Amino acid sequence: MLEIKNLHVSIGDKKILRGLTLTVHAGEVAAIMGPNGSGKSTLSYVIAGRSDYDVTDGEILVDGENILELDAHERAAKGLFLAFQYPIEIPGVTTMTFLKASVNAQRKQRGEAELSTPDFMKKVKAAADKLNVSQEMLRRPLNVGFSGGEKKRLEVLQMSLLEPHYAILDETDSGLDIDALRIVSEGVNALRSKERGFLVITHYQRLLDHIVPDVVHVMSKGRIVKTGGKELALELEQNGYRDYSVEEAVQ
Amino acid sequence: MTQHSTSKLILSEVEHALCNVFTTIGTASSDDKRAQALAQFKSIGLPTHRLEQWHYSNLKRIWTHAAPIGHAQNIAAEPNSFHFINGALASVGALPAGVTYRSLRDVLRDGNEADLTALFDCAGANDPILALNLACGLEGVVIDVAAHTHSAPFIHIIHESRSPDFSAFPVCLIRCAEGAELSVVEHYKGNAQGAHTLSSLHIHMASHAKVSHFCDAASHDQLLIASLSLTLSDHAQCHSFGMISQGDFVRRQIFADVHAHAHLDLRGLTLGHAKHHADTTLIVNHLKPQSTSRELFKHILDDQAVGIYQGKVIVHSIAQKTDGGMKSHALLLSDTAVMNNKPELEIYADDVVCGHGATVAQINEDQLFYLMSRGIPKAQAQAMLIDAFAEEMLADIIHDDVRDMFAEHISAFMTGRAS
Repeated sequence: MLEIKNLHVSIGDKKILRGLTLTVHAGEVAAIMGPNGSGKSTLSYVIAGRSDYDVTDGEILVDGENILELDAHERAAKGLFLAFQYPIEIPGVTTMTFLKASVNAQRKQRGEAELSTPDFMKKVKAAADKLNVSQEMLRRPLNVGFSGGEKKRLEVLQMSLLEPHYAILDETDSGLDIDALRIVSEGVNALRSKERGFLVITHYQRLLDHIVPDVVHVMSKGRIVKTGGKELALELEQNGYRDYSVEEAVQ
Repeated sequence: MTQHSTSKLILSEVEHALCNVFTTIGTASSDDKRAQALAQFKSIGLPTHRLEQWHYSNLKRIWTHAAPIGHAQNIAAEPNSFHFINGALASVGALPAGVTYRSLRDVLRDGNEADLTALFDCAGANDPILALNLACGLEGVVIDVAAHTHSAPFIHIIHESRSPDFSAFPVCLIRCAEGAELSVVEHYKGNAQGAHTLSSLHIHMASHAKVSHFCDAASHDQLLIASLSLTLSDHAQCHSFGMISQGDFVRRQIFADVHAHAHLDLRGLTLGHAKHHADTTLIVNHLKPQSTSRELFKHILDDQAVGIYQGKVIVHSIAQKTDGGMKSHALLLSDTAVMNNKPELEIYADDVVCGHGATVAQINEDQLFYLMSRGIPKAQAQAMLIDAFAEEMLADIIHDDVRDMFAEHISAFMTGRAS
């Protein structure tokens, strides 16, 4: 269970999250919807362990363990994964090198044996084929010159290789055309299981047509202001966020 | 050589001592040239920040002690290698077909005009330190590569500092005749305390000659100034890569005269740590039309290291259709490391394509977080990013041995950081 309890987060003097409470159960897909500036991306970064935010109050628990004192890499090894809204380009590091370093770094932290190159290659190939990620793409520098669709497919590929317990998808639909959205969503759906929880952050209903949530939370002004079933997303699509006024723009 | 008028400059004790290294060898033509070089040095003395090309490296302040001239030790010769110990030529290995050499002393004693012109009227001869090097240097070699020599193995020029507290002024000249191709590696190595090395390598490329040059500045000398003077005749090509990885005070200064249709590619990587001072200064003269040059230099600086990049590309008025591009990028790994970046273009022709760019940055936090969010610990993630920054510089080196040699310095630098 991923539990966020009364989370308060600031950057400098600016308060972004103001007592956010949320639970994602194993096997559950929870969606967070909310207007621009409600603090959705901040939430995803804070869960993943980005260090430039001040957590002034509250807790984040993964299966009962408070992870706020852990560095980002330790959180990843505990089974957290963030699919970035804008995956970062890293010239000079090939995608394959990065994938292998990631998988083995996590295995090492968990006290598991590192994967041999042939075993790793076999695993990558199987996962890449499903997501239409070419071998040529894996030889290129990480995310450099990748299209929006390629970047997001690579995020899902990473998720499938790292097999997290809880995955946060930060506006995974942004920058995707309909076909890319379908491929990415199918990739995510294939990873749904009763052991794995998802937190899907999005502005729009359309992603939730493909990745159907069990629960929908509405976020505004740094808090969860309403929770409902998947029909809540449809309601928001019709009415917009006007019922949940925005005081300040925070990204 | 352009002579500065001998002004009334009052020389310091160290400058006097350096001038006293000069001894005549008894051949008037050589001694005249060497005396002119000495006068050139005396007119300026040890450079300070007041001399533009030495703005960030105040040699007068740093060079406070003139150590005695170093002496060679006996060592076994290795094939294709010229091995200098403490600045003196210690051994010469068997050379490949088409490559011959004479000692610098013999060349100076012969006093042949063409030889002297190649040595003393070289690119960069106005520089006071190159002038001092030429005036005082009696140890060295003149290497000739016959026309159309191809596929010769690498020539190694090894400068090894073994004894403590010495001065050295070695001078090497390589002449590649028409259409000759040569690869040469200049090594600086050794752990001697208090070594002061002024070294110069002059490479003259006749038309259509091709040279690959590598410089591995990895000695722990207290002071190393390695001058590289390049003359590219019409259609000549020169690719040079240099790395500075050790040394308290290191300056690589590169002077290049580029003629018509010639291509010059200069690259370099500096790995600075502790309180090291690493200066790369270059002056590229496009003298004739339709030549091209590319310069790409990177610095990775940690601790309190100071890096300097000064690159000046001069396009002379008749050098129309020159195509030049210069870039310098620095990565600072600590809050106390300093980078001085000064790329310059001086263009006197009106139909040229020239550009330059310079950046100084720290490790990108977004990239670091991305790697860490996948489970990669911070130190490993930083190492991957530093490696990636450096790797671009080695990617084009097709010779495995040479690339591995430089890659080892990068990994030693990374290991030093981790410990």
